[in-house]
Amino acid sequence: MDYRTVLTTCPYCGCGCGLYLEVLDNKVTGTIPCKTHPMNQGKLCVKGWNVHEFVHNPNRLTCPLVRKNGSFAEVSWDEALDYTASRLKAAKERHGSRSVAFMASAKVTNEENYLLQKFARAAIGTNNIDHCARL
Amino acid sequence: MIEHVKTIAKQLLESGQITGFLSLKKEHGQIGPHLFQSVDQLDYLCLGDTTGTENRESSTEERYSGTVESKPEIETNRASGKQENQSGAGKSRYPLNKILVRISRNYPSDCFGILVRGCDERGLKRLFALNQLDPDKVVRVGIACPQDLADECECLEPWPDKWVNDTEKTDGSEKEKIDGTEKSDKAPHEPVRQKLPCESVARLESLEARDRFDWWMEHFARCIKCYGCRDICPMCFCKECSLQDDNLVRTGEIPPEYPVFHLARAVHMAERCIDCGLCSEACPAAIPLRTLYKKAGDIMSNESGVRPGYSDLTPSDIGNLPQTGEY
Amino acid sequence: MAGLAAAFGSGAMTNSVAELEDSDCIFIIGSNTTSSHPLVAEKIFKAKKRGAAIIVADPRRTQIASIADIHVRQNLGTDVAFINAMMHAIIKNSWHDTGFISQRTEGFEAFKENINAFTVDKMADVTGICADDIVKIAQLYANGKASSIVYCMGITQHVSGVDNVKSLANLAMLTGNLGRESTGVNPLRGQNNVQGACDMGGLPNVYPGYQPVNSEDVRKKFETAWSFEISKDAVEPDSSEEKSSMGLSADVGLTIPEMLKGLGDGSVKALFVLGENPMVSDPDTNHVRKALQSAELLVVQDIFMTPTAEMAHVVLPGACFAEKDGTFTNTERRVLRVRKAIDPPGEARQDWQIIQDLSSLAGYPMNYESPDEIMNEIAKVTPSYGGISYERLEGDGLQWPCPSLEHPGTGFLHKERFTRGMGLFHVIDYIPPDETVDDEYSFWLTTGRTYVHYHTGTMTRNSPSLNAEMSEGFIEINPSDAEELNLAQGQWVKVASRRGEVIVKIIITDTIGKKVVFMPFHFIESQANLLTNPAFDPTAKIPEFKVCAVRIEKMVKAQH
Ligand code: SF4
Ligand code: SF4
Ligand code: SF4
Ligand code: SF4
Repeated sequence: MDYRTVLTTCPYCGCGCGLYLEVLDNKVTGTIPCKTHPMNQGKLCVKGWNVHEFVHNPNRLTCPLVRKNGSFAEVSWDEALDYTASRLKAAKERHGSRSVAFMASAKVTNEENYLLQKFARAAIGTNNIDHCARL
Repeated sequence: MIEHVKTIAKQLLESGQITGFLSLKKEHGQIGPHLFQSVDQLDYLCLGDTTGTENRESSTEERYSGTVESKPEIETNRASGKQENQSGAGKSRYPLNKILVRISRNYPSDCFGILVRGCDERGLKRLFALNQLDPDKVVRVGIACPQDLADECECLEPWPDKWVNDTEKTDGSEKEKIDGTEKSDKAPHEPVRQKLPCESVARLESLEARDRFDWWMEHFARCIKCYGCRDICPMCFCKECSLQDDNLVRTGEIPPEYPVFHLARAVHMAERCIDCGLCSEACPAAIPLRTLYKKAGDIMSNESGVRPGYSDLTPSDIGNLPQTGEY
Repeated sequence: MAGLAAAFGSGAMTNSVAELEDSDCIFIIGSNTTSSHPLVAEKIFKAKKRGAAIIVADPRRTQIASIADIHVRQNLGTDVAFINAMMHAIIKNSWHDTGFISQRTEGFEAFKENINAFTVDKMADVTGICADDIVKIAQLYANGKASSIVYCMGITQHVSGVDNVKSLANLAMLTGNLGRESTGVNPLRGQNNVQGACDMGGLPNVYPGYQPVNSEDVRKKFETAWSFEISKDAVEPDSSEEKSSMGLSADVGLTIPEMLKGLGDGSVKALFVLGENPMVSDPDTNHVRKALQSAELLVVQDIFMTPTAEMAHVVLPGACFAEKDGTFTNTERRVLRVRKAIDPPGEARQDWQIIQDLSSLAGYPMNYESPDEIMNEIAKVTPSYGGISYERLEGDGLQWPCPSLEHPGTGFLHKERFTRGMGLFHVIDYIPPDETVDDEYSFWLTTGRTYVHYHTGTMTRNSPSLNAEMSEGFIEINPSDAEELNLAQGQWVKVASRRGEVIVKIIITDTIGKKVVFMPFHFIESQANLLTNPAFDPTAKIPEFKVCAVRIEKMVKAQH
């Protein structure tokens, strides 16, 4: 058996409450607010308390998909990434860097946002990157 | 005290008597629940106090002294206006019983050790009685609470039946007391027991019924329906929660219909609440839930002569309760 | 962001959330705090307990409004008129802080000149708030020793969003409520890492740390840091002025509304969407759908098959917060660790790994071992994150600016001087909302969140407990309006705007004022954003989600 608690940060609102995810045999089974966290001191809202529930939802995406003849086909990572990279490169070469645009995300980590804007700016050569801070 | 808890946990783990020892750990600068499954992790074990040796990293304080003049203390219930306990003991308690129930459901034949304070043990006794846990599969390692924490909790019994003794450092002869099997015959500190009804309850009792009602309604109006009081509660385990029954409390609005929401829970908890106070600490609306449930418990024990989890409260203790009526 | 940056030099929340507890007066405008930021509401509750005056201005009687000392309902889109009138009253009664104004700010005279016209009585008519209340609020706010302003999307999601924010900045400067504990102008970020996405340069005009893309020095710095020679061919062929330098692009990029427009007119061909769902989150869904349909390549990286992902050519399965290491930056600029608890499901991968592989395949190799290593690079190129490392984030995290490894982080900004030097007063005039009601569309519609769901519902609606709490959309309508339209509780109605229509159940409640209706935007089947107006603020490009005109029709038969 393996039971662990993992200290992390709530992914919902901008409060950034600290919480422990309970992990029993590699399944996230519960949420416990962190008592000593500066933001929430042992409290959470209803979203935070149930944050573990969507993690194992059967609707989660588990395989890369590429549209073929109008519908999605499951493909390997190699195929999905090659396809994406070559199409992005092609758009850039044919129509210029300004023809490619990126939406960054308020839901992913700082590190991932950093990489995405670096990818847009350094690899594709465009400043067309925005996210829904405005929303 | 903590070293002895570690020693006992180590013995229990090494002997193979338990699969894991459920306690608290300090990691990443925060204190949280942890199941110790190997002895080499025991260095991180802590008892959930936020001062003294388990104080937060001093660097945390220094970090703030730079640009922020004062950093809000980690206080569990600043809004209650109650005196904070000086020792910081029990400031980061977690519902270990609840976690144990969840683990045991998946591993019913395994035996687990668990750190217990008085309230935790009251909870275990109730959970045994309600068939949520098997007493043969639980090894308790008790600790007694210091007086300031007991005062803050208005605790009727701030220790479990057996506890790891605190005094071994000054008196080596007490070593045998740490084995966690012996019944302690002496309270670790005096005075020990609060008078009933507790002060917080008595204060409310002194209000006119109308004012008391308004006082509660003003508190309930802040409820954000986080269900934290239920989700943290070591004694809440119903599959179908009546708070989520649309016939009782309409779903989809905050504040939830009050006082229905709160009274429904108080009534439901009356025969289960072991007065640990975790609900009050988890309430983002700072509603004095513990006081509400203390009162519900008083009414309950008047009626039935039973107070959940207390095995040795004599009928005369219970008889001392005032005969009060509605809330 | 843009409003505060113009006034103070930094667009972030000026103070810390915990400081609210010690405010004497908290002025909350356009924030349904108990639903959208419950743990901020917790601090407000504590402040109230301590005796602070709580003032709420909101067209709805939200929970926080119901516990406030004063709640006023301004007419939709009249915030500038209201705030200017408050400032008129403050100046007239000499409640302003002349010392602060002369030592710390500039532009006061022109500002004062302009405020002259906003008499309380005149603005009472515009805002629908009675004159006495305006004066009382002005007095409470101005005379508190430490007064805080808290606002959210109810202020920013307007055509005048930036003006609204600048007005709040004016108000705080006028009364000296800045640069001290428990004061300030405090925008609450709607999503967990909005602050971080901005900080990391997920914006068309700035690199990480708000360093402008059109500054030569900044560009040079990033060209060096990113060893740009590797991908020289990345420069765009049609950018005339920058062709010779062969470096990073100096052209400010497109905002989301401009990207959508570009897709429509063919100037944008490919769109890469990371973890966003514009089909539900953006205004005027029909317009968004058309734009996305015209993309030659639409790539969506997400954890669920969102309505946006359904339209994609490629869908890349990413990892959720429980499946990766990294950091989020919360609304009070606190950088907090995210820790991996389990592996992503199936073949899903951590998002940083996916982006890294794509970049390498596209000709710009990236070889990070871990998010830790990425953070070290961030710290190198981002002055405000300069002192941040995973090691230092243990414990309570760090609030930026944290420029060096010795720096303790910053609880409140603008202590002795503003980030831009002097605080700048702006002259702000009242501009009415872009769309107004008429005979055909006679109701004001405003949109927002509920306490259960989050944003487009991607995660919360896939959570059984939360879905049980609220499983379908609704529209709130005032009892007297319901009576006029002969509507009963729970009945289905058709709501139509000039852009679209939806069918939705009504909730009759006096939470909402007369002639105003409210819809949450989480629900794709009764989608508020089919109705909303994509007119956006000229500076911040934030759409006017909070105001549009609609018509309500009774449905003869219940339906889904
Ligand atoms: S628990 Fe609630 S208040 Fe805290 S961050 Fe999550 S959504 Fe926000
Ligand atoms: S309720 Fe009693 S036993 Fe429990 S922590 Fe408080 S004082 Fe200790
Ligand atoms: S005090 Fe609260 S948390 Fe503890 S048992 Fe009673 S109801 Fe549950
Ligand atoms: S913890 Fe407090 S706010 Fe949350 S549901 Fe219970 S009473 Fe309401």
